[in-house]
Amino acid sequence: MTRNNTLTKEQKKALRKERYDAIMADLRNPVKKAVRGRKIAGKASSLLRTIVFIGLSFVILFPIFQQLMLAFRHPNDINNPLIVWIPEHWSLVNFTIAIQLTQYWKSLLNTFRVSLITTVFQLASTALAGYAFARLKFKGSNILFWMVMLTLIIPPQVTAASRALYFSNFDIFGLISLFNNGEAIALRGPGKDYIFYIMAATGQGIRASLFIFLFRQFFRGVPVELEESAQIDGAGILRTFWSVMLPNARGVITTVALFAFVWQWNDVYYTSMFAVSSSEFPLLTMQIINTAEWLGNLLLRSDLKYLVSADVRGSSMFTSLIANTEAFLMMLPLLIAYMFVQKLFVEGIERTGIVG
Amino acid sequence: MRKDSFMKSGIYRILDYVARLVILNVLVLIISFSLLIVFSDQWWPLIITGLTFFPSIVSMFKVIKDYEDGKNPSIFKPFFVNFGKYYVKSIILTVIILASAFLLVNSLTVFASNYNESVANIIGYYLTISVIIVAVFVLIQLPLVIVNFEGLSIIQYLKLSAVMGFKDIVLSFLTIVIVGAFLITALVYPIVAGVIGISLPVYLITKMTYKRYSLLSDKHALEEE
Repeated sequence: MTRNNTLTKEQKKALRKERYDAIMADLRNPVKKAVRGRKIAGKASSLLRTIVFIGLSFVILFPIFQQLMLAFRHPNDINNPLIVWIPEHWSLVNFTIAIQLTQYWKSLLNTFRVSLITTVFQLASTALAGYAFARLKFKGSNILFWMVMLTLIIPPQVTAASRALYFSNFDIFGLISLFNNGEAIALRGPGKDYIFYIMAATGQGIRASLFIFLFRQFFRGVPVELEESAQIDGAGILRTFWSVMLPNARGVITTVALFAFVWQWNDVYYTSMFAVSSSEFPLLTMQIINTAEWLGNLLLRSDLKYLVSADVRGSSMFTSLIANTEAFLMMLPLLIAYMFVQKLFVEGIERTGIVG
Repeated sequence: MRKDSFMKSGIYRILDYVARLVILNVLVLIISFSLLIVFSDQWWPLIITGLTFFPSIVSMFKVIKDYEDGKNPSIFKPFFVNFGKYYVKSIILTVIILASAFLLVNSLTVFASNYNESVANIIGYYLTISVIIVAVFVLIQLPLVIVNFEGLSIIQYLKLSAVMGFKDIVLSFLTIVIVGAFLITALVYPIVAGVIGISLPVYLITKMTYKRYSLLSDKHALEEE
């Protein structure tokens, strides 16, 4: 016998209502509601983050994926409307053509050499300039610094003509012509890669002003006491810079080195302006542009013309296919290098807030 | 010793649970569908199915919940005890559900067939669809509410199901997805429905909603007199 059986109908109804109200009150509990709200907000934000990350990854990875798939697609498949991403006939023909037409290995070596040496000079000049602007106060140093910063704002096209002329007739206060039978020397031209080194060594390299700014900001943050203690020990300015400041600047050096290297590697503007690339001294960026422009003629002159049929050779799709493969080949060393220096690269971006 | 360690192993527990689910599934099939299968050309077994299906589903929910709570490991006796315990309420709810389903399907058919005739039909069509969605949310929660909160009236069960259905909409949606997936599987592969097609979704739903319901049901459990 249960207690419920002894209750009247009204009492049972009242009991049911009471229980129902208690459950509903529990469900409406503001504390629980807040906790649930927080949980939902957490889950929603996590979901949103995931969607954003997937979207961003897609935006970044999709072109690489597409480029890879295009590179492995046989040229005969370029007009096949059924192929969107995955090739029907996998082939290395595009790579064979791209490697041979761009003189890939030679271009790669030259580009690597130019980028590496430029990076070293960029590092040396911008670190010194940054240190000078941070620590060595002299009359007009701030004006000078802001003039350097001005070069960051001014587009390189503004100074292009004067630079090209200056390096075509390079002279320093008439000293060079004095010892060169009255003639200035032309630093600009095919194979004259030292123009990049001169520019980098004199703080005029690609976005050098940005690097100077980064170094200046970093050195300004280093405690003065460190330098003072070095000076008490008898160190001069250069010695302090070399032994005290530079070892502490590992992070900013890495950042600058990475960006200087990548930007020089991808540079088209200065390379074409100074006409450095030639058949004897090919550079990757210019080789891609040249082959894309003259692909038909280049193929006809080489023994590669038998690899693809005549109608495919004439197609603009084929040109873009080969240009795409060349671009992929150009990216490849950086992608491989990125796998090794990924941590440093991300650290650099985090530290400076700049992206390449 | 070897027998002991086997009985404690994960594989044994999984197989034990699968066996339970299969037995429960067969119990529901025998009670609700055996006559329908034997007399497939007759209409009257449908009445038996209508009178027993929802109570047996509720009973299945209760058996699985009790097992999850660690209260009762048996299958047969609790199943029939709960079948009897919840029978009246379940039958009343079945009548309400069937009547609502009939009305909603009728409304939908009428509004859909006259969709292009007037704006009222368009509004009625979408309104009916909205009501159907709400009804599905309520229906999905109904057995769970019945087995977790005892001693409430039919109207209170329906209201509470609606509240629980929309309290955690993602979970309810997942529940609908599971039921939908098993319904489709059962239509395509009837053998799956025969073996585990009813008890497995019930188990999954109980497991998914366990935490949400157990806190409330423990707090508001009916005192044993």
